[in-house]
Amino acid sequence: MRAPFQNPLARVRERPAPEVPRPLGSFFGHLSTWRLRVLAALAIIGPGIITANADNDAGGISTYSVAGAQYGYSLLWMLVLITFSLAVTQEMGARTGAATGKGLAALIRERYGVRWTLFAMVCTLAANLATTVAEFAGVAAAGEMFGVPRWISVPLAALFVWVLVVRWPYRSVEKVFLVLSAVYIAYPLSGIMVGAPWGQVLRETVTPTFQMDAGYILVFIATVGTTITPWGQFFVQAYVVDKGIGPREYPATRVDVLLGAFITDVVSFFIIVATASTLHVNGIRISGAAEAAKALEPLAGPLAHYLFAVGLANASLLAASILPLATAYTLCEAFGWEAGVDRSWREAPAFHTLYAFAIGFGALVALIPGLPLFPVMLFSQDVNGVLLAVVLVFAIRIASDRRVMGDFASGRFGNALAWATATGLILLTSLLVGTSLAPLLGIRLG
Amino acid sequence: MATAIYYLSQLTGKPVLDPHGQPVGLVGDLVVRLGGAFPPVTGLTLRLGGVGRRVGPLATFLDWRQVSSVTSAALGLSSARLDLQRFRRRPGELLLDADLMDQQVIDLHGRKLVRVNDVQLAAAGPGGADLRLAGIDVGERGLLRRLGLDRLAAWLGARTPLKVPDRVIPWESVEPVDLSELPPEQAGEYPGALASRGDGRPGLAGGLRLTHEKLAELHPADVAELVAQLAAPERAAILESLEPETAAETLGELEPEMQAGVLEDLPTEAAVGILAELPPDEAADALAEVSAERADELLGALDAEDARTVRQLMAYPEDVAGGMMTTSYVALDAHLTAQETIDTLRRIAPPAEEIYYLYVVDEGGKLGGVISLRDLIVAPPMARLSELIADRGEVVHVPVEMPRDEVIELVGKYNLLAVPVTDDDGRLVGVITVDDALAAALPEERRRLLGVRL
Repeated sequence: MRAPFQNPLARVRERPAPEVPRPLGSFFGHLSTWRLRVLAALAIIGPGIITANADNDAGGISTYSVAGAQYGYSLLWMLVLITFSLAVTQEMGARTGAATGKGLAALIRERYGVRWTLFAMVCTLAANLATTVAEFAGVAAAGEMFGVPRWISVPLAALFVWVLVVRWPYRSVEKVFLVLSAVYIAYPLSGIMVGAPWGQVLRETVTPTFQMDAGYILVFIATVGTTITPWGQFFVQAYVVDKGIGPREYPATRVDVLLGAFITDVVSFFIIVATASTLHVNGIRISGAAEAAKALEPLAGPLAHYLFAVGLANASLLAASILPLATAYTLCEAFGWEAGVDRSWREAPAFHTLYAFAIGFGALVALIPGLPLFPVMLFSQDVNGVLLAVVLVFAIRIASDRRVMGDFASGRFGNALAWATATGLILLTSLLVGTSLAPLLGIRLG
Repeated sequence: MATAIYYLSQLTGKPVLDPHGQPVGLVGDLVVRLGGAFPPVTGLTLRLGGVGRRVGPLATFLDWRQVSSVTSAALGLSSARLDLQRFRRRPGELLLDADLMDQQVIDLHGRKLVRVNDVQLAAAGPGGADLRLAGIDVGERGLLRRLGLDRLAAWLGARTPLKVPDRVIPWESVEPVDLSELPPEQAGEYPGALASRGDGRPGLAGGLRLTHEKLAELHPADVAELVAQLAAPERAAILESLEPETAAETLGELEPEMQAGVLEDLPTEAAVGILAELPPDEAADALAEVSAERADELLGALDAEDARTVRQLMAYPEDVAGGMMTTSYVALDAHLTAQETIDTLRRIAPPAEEIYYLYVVDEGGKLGGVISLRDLIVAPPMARLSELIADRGEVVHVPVEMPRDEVIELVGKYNLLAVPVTDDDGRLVGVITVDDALAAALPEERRRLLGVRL
C-alpha cells in the first residue's frame, strides 16, 4: 500500500525518462551536425577573407598596378615579406580580440589613457579618411571608364553607401561584393595568357633589390600600406569580437586569418605580374585607370577596359561601405560614445556625425574638379603606410602584454616579425622623408 | 570648510609635500575603500620618480592619515617622518587611476556601459583632507580636462554658445566592472591573483573580486542586458560574483550562445552552482550550446538527479515538444483529497514554474487529468482528485515528438497557460508553459530583437 502523502514532486524527478522516439533521429542527427559544422565554418571563415578582399580595394589595385608598371617584377620580393607581416599582424589582431573580447581602440584607451588614445585616433582618422577618398576616387575612375562623369557617380556612390549600409541588412550586401570579387581571377588569367616569363618572375620574387629614390620608396611604402592597413588592424579585431569568437573558437579563426593573408597577396602578386608583363615590358607608365586596364587586355581584349572598371567599382564600393563605418565605430569606442547603426541620431550623435563626415569628406575630395584620381589613390596608401607604424606599435605592445592577454600573449617569433614590420615602416618613412628632402638640400644620393 | 570638488586628473602627478614644503614624491594613484555612497580615500601610491600610470611593482603606499591638506596644487603631509610601505592591494579596495580611469563601468541609473573620462572627488574637513569618491565624469569636459584643455572648455562655455558640459554620474549609481590586473611582479604575492585560472584566460584579480551588490538589485533582465555588452571575461567575472540564484536568473535572460560562453568561461564550481539554480529546461538549452566535453564535465559535477533530468531533456531535438518542455511541474496522485493536496502544496511550496495547473497521474505515471488551483480551492475538502477529474473529457496534451509549430497552434487554440507532454504510453513527462511556446512562436529575427530566448 502506498502512503498517500508521498511527496508528489519527488515522483516526478525519479521517473525514468522515456527513450527518445526518433525513428529518423540518427539520420537527421547526422545531417544537422554536418550542416551545423559547415555553417559554423562559414560563420567563422569571415574576418580574414573579408579583410583580404577589402584590402584589394581601389588603393590596392592602383598601387599594385603602378608597382608592376613602374618597377616590373622587382617589387615582388617584398610582397613575400609583406605576406608574412600581414599574416602576423592580422593574427595578432584576431588573437587580441578573442582573448579580451574588446576592440583595439578600447584596449589602447584602457592601457594608455586619453592622450595616447587621441594620438592613435588622429592617426587612424587621417589614414581612414585618406583611404575613403581613394575609394571614391576609385568609383569616379571606374565611372569615367563607362563614360559616367564623376559628379554623377560619386554622389550616387556616397548615397548608396550611406543609405544601404544603414538601412539594409549588411550581410546580404557583403555577399554580393564577395561574389563580385571573383573578377580578380582575371589577373592571374591575364598573366598566364600574356605568357609572363615565369622563370624571371620567380627569380625576382626571391631576390631582394632596392632603389634609393623617392619615387621607388613611395611605391614601396604604399605597397606595404595598402596591404597592411591601420583600419584592417582595427577591423579584424572588431570582427572577431562582434562574432563572439573566444579562445575556444579561435583556432578556426586563426586558420581563416592566415588563409586570408595568403589569398590577399596571391591576388596582389598577380596584379603586379600582369601589369609588369603587359605594361612595364612595353614601357607604358600608368597615369590613369585606362592604362592600368591594359593589363587585362591579353585576357579580355577590347573588353579589358570594362572588366577593369567593374573590378575597380566593386572593390571601391566594398571598401567604401566598410571604411566610414569602421572609422565611426573605432572613434566612438575609443572615446566612449554611443555607437551603432541601429541607434538614432539623437541616441548616437557622435557616431552618425562621424559616419556621415567620413562619407562626405571622401566624396567631396574625390569631386574636386581635375583631381588626378590615380595618383590620389596611390598617395592615400602612402598615408596609410606611414601611419600604420603608429597603430602597429600599439597593437604589438598590447598583444604581447600578459596582463591583457594572459596565456594568449604573443610568442617571440610573431612578435619579432611584427616589430620588424613596424620598424621597417618607420625606417622607410624616414628614408622617404630623407630622399624627398635631400635634393632640396643639395645632397646627392647614390 | 566648505566642500571642494577635485578631479583625479588634477591630483595625480601633483607633488606630495612634507611639512617643510619639500617634495617627497608625486601622487601616483589614490586608493579608496569601497562602501557607502561616498567611499573614503584611504591611501595613495607615491611616484618616487620614473613614469607610468600603472601601479608598478615598486609602488610605494602612503596611508591617507598622514595627509593633512589637499589642494589642486599639492598634497601636504602632517609629518616629515614618512611611513612608507610597499603597496599591496587589499580586498574591498579600488585604485582610482588603475581600476576606474578609462575603463568601462556600469551606469546603473542609465542602464548602460559608460567609459570613465575622469573621477570626481569631494574634499571636506580640515585642510580638505577628508577626500571621498563622489562620482565619475563621463562627459566631454572630462576628456578635455584630461588633455589639459580645461581652460579652453571654460573659455568656450563663457564666450561662445558652444558649451562643453560636465556629465558626472554619482558613485551611488556606478558599478565598476572588474579590478584591473596587477603587474606580474606584484601578483606573485597573491596566490591566484594573476595566475590565469588554468583556462588560459587573461588573469583577473581573482580573490579580490568586487561584489557587485548594487548590480544585484536590478531586475535580472536588466542585468542581462548590461552584461551582454561586456567582454566575455568580464561577463563571466560578474556572473561569478553574483549570488547563484541571481546569476541563474541573469543567465536565463542571455542569448543561448552567450550562455554557453559563460558556462565555458566560469570555473566549474561556479558554473555548476548556477546550473543547479536554473530550471531543467533552461539548463538543458544552455548546455546544448556548450561543447560536449564541457557539458559532460558540468553535468558530472551536478547533482546526479538533476543531471539525469537535464540529460533527458537534452536528448530531444529542440523543434519538438520534448525540446520545449520543462520537467519542473506538479504531478499529483489521483488518490489524494482536495484538502490533502492543498496541504501538500503549501508544505512543499513547489519550485515549478507553473503551478496553476496541477496534473493528476495514476500509479504508472499515466496522465489522468488536470485540475486548476481554482478547481482545487472550490472543491469539497474531502473530494478525491480522481472524482474531480472523473466527469471531464480527455486532457489536452501533446506527444513528445509533436513538432514545434503544432504545439504552438494547440496552445493558442485552447488558450492554455501550459500543456502537458506525454510519452507513447501516455505517461506525463513534462510541461510546456505558454511563455516557452510564445518564445518559440516568434520568428528568429524578432526574438533576437526582443531579446527573447527559447
